[in-house]
Amino acid sequence: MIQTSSNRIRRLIIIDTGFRGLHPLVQLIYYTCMAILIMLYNHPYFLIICCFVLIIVNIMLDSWVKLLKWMKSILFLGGGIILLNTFLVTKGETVLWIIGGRAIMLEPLLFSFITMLMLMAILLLFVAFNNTLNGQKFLYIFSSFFQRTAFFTMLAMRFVPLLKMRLHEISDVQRVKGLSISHGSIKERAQSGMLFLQVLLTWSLTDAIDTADAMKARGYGTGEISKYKPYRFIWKHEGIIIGTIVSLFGICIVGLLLGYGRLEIYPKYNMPPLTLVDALLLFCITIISAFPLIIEGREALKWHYLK
Amino acid sequence: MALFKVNQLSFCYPGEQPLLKDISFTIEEGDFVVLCGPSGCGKSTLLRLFIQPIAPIGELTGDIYYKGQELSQWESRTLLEEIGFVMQNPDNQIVMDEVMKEIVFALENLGYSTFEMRKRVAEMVHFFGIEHLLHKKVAELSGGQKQIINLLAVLLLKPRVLILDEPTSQLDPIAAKEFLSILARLNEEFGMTIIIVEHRLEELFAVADQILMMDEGRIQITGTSEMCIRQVYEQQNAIFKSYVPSITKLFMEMENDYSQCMPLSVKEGKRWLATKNTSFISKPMMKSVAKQTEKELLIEMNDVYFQYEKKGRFVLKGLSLSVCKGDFLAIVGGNGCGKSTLLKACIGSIRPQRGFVKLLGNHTYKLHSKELSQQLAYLPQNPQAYFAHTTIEKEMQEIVKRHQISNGTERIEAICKEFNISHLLHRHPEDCSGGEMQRAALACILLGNPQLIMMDEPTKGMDPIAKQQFADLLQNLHLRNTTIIMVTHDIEFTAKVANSCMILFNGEVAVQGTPSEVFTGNYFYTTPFNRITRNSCMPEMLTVEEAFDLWPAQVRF
Repeated sequence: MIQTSSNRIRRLIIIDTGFRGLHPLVQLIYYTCMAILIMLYNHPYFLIICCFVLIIVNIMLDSWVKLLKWMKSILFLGGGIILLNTFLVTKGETVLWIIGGRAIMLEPLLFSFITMLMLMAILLLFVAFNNTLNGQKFLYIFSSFFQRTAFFTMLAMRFVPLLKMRLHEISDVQRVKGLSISHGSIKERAQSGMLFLQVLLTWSLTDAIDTADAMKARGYGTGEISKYKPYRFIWKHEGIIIGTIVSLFGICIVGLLLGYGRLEIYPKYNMPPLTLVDALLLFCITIISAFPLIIEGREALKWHYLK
Repeated sequence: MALFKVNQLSFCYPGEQPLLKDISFTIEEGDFVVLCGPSGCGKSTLLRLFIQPIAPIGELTGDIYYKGQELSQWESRTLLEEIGFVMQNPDNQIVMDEVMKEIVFALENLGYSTFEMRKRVAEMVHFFGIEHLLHKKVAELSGGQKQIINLLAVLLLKPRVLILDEPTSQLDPIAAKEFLSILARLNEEFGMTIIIVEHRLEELFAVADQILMMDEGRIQITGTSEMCIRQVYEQQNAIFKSYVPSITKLFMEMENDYSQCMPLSVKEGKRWLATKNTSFISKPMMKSVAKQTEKELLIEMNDVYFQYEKKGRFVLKGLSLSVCKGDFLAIVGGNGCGKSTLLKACIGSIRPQRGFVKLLGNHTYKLHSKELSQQLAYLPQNPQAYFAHTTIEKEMQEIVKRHQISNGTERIEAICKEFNISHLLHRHPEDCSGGEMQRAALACILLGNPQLIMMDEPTKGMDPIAKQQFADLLQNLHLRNTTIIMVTHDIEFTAKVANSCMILFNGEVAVQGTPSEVFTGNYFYTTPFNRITRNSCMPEMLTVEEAFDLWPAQVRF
């Protein structure tokens, strides 16, 4: 009996397994750190590794179908950037080829290649973000900081489908009455369009009085408000993860400030050899970007040995 | 000690006639109280006076005591938690976009901890068996589910009293039944006091402990169900007679021996009929269908398929239908079976993906709105969508202009008289009650003398008297050879007025025939009266009026 009721309580908490099961704050921190790092580091080694890890993350989070849809446009865009940049920009000092009397430089080619990598990494991150931190979770975090704004957003989200439904009904009914926005002169159409909006407004406002009453009858605005927390935050688990990500992120930022991880392209490209510090930073970035993988892997192992 | 004690309560809105006059009654803890009366008699106002935060503003004399102390003396938080309120329209009460957020809304407002919220939600959600709805969006739910969510949201505060204002008037009969049975269970198992305003009383008379019958701002009759019904018949009160369940009507009209237990439910009705061991002459069906003569075909649907979303399910699946001039077709069916979509196809606001819908030989979706408005009229489920002008009179004048009716003013006067809405002409449509708005919209529609009328749930929220008047009116129109297509949940109403019925199931026509062919012998899609007469000494009937006609003279006691 106790078992079943605790199961029931568990159900009230939104539980996904693995990375998606973590508290949304953890996910938000992961994605912000990654976005910042991708935008600051422009060394191709770093970006290539990030892209590679993020592709695996996307596969693990079941968002690769969505990714494929995006990939086409990003490759098209990236290819465009590379072509345009290499053929139009003549900055730089290292000449690669001369085609039709026009010098093709190495630097613009490299620059556009890095830009493409960066775009790709951001996109990969965005697709994964969309799949883990959906609107609900995002709003939940948001509401901890801006309670009132978040509340109004929620109200608005409730009303959008309602208004849409009503507007459909109004235009159906008014069409039979002889008013339509799809036939007649522009003036007539505009007039009936305005009329529809007016009907919608009157209808919605009258009904909103009821909503306001329902809110008051349930104690809205009577005093101290508490917040229902649908996600668990366990210091031993979520806390440790956040700590690790943030400290690794700190190391990476310090590295950046010391001048590592960035590639000087203009005016003349030169690739310095990889130092030990570079290797350390690379390691940190790999660990941060692979965090979802580590968590999913740990979960998989747990399930495997539990059986 | 009485839970509620109302003492000589009078109320009037500022600048208006007194609405409630000298009302006194008491409600004991654990009572199931039903408040009924025609629309506009002040029921809702009376209910809202019990809810402090939303009590109507106006001149109030007399007292309301809650647990022996005046209502205004109580701390507002105690009242908020102990008196729960559910309103009529399920959509309007929902604040949040997700079910879970919605049901904890009240708890959040009162500052409960997440632990307490989880505990209460876990318990209640289990009781209602709606775990699968918890993380859904509100917009995806049906009306019945929304209303259950509203009830749940209130119940989480653990109220002692539940006050409900026509909670089932917007629901289909099956959802309404489910909702009422939950209320009966709450009353029975938790001893929760329930005060409910309702028009559909067939089932409620059997469970109610106390009935308050209200008219013109006064409590006219009060007492237990049986006492009330007896008084209604002693006074021969035509208004409240229409609220009495059909089997009890038959009992009161036909039985002389009043000492017998009065049948209030289907079960008791069957028992009572069994004691009448007489054989009935089973008359042949009076309403024999007139020979199908060649009539003009108005609407023709052939093999229509429709889906709202690509890859979504088909709402209409191979639907074929033909409506001839002078037909009165009623379409019934469960939620989401495609009834409303069918009407939408008929008025051409959707284009079928396969098949066609033709109105007098033209594809309906191609018709321009001007042509359409000359040929048919449509009464939507929500009459709010209909009115485009600030007063009903302006709306009517606009219609007169559009249809070029010659003697417009006289027509308006005549139709207003017929519908009893002359006093509403100068009001804004939104200022009328739901029933009044419905009547006004219908009057506007009929002003243009349409040959074909389509209605979506016209009897929703009507009180029995208004429904009776509406039925007479429709029959009149039908006699004048107007074609009517009606989508409805109200089977009793359909049985009274329609000459052809159709059950829609899963986007297809399941059966079509006369009301008696379609409805007799069903479990769900039938009237309570039919359930009583099934397998009894009487022939199967749908309405009590049929029974009055058939009741043989020699068995009148």
